[in-house]
This record gives sequence, C-alpha cells and structure tokens, in this order.
Amino acid sequence: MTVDRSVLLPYLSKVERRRSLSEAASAAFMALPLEQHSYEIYRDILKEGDRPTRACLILTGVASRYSTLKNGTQQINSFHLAGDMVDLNAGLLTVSDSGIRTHTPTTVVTIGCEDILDLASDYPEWGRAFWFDTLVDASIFREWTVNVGRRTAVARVAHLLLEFNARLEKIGLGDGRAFVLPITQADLADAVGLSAIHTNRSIQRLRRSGAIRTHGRNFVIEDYPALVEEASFDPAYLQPEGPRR
Amino acid sequence: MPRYYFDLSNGAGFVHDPEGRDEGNLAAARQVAITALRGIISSEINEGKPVSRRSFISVRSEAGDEVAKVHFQDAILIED
Repeated sequence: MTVDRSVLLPYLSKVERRRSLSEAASAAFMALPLEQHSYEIYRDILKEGDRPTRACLILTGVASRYSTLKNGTQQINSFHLAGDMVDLNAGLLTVSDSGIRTHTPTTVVTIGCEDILDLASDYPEWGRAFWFDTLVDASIFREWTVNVGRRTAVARVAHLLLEFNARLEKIGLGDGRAFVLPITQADLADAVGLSAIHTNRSIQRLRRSGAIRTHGRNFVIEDYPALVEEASFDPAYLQPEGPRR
Repeated sequence: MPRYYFDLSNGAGFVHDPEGRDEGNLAAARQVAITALRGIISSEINEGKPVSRRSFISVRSEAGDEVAKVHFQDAILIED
C-alpha cells in the first residue's frame, strides 16, 4: 500500500518549530519509505521483549508504553498522542524493554530503524532532532517516577490530568482548560500506580474541592492554580522551550 | 468475562464506579476490592488522615445486584 506522505508533515513542522531544517534534510525525511498500520483499541503495536525493526509515528489515536509484572499487573510508563514519534528507542535499542499498546483506535506510520540511523548520520540536524525527542521522553519518565514514587494519590491523578491538558492543547485537542480524557479510569490507574477505585475516589476529591468538573470523560479545569498547587505541576518537564540549537 | 462494579463507602463519602472492570469470577473481583481497600486505607495512614473502620467496597454485577461486600476487617489484619 502506498502511504500518503503528507501524513509526515505534522511531525516535520513540530521539528521545524523547534529548529528549522535545511531543505535537503526536510526532503530526505519526506522521502523515507513508510508503512501505515491501523489498530483497534487495546492492541499491541510492540510486545515486551520484541526485537523492533521499525519506529512509529502516531497519526491519530493514543498509545502507551507499559510493563507487565509477573503477577499480571501492569504499569503504564507514558502516554503518546498524535504527532508523537513513539519508538525512536528502536533505532538503537535492539530489544524492547516495554510494550506499546493502543488505547483508542490508532493509526501509525512506521519507519525502518536503519532508515532512521541513516537519516541521523546523513543529516546531523535529524540526529539532534531525534536525540531531543528521546530526551523529552526521558524528562517525562523522570517526572512520572516522581509522580508514582513521591506524590499522594490525589496529587498523582491531578498531575496526570494536567499533563493531558497541556499535551492535548498542544495538538489542538483542548483549549488549555477543557479536554476529553482519551483513556479509561482503569488506564489512568495503571499510569499512577493506584487501583481504579482509588483513582476514581481521587478524581471525586478533585471534583468536590472545586478544582475540576467532569462529565463522563469530559474534564473541565475549574480552578487551574488550585489543581497546579495540588499536583505541584511545573510544565518545564515537557520541555516547551525546545532544544538549545 | 463478567464485568463487576466497585463502589466505595469510606467514612462519610461514597464513590460510585462508572466504568467497572472485567474479572474472571467473583473471587477475583473480591480480591480486586480487597487490594483496592488496602491501598486506599494505607494512603490515608501515610497522609495522616483518619481511617474509618466502617469503610467497605460493594461489588456489583452488570445487572446492578450487590454480589459481594468487602469490609475494613476483610482487608486489614490487626494483631494485638
């Protein structure tokens, strides 16, 4: 199946908003061989322990990285939204330490690991762009370590809601105050290391305090400063300033 | 797999479960409730908040019937 290459444009413009690329570098990216795949909800794009051969860019939908424990419980390590390159790690890491799963019907295009490595060595600006991308992922992982390791239940939930709010706004799926949570409360629970029941109660606490209003999966932040205070949320970890150069 | 709903009563508060979750059988659903109640009570202890001995989780079937009730004393073991 031939893939419409215009699907790469949102990622290209995200990279160019951070730092402009030479014409040759943009052209080389746009010429990459692609495969497009669509997944239903809760399908593995990559399984834990797999040897990936391709990285993927999310066109529409939501995916997570997750790890499974021996007792069957799972920890979600990060969420990835439309426009995110999910598995640049695959470029250099031969075995996947975690799985990647969809949380809504999701469409991706994949790029071969060898093509990514060639692009990065032919165009150092792409090498830097991919490096920056993986550093943002790492920054988010660190914040999540703090979240599950050190914050109270209510603060963990508040923090993740604020992250969704910020990231959804950035891709035009929210206005910075209201958004549709693209995952279930059970998934939210697996991301904050609580039971679904505890997560549900934490959301109720936030609702009762007047910080948020919810209707199903529709969330409205009523008192942004209070929610930020509760979560000790500082969006600097999302690296909005972009790379040094 | 059947779907179960887990409503929490914790002291004065009640939290309705809008989503539920699929579990293999009632015993598995009961274990989910026990684990959840332990987690909730332990974070209350960690945060220095009062713990209610009257806390319980009511497990409902898809039809809405209460099929199990997990009380504080089912979740927490206390030795003198």
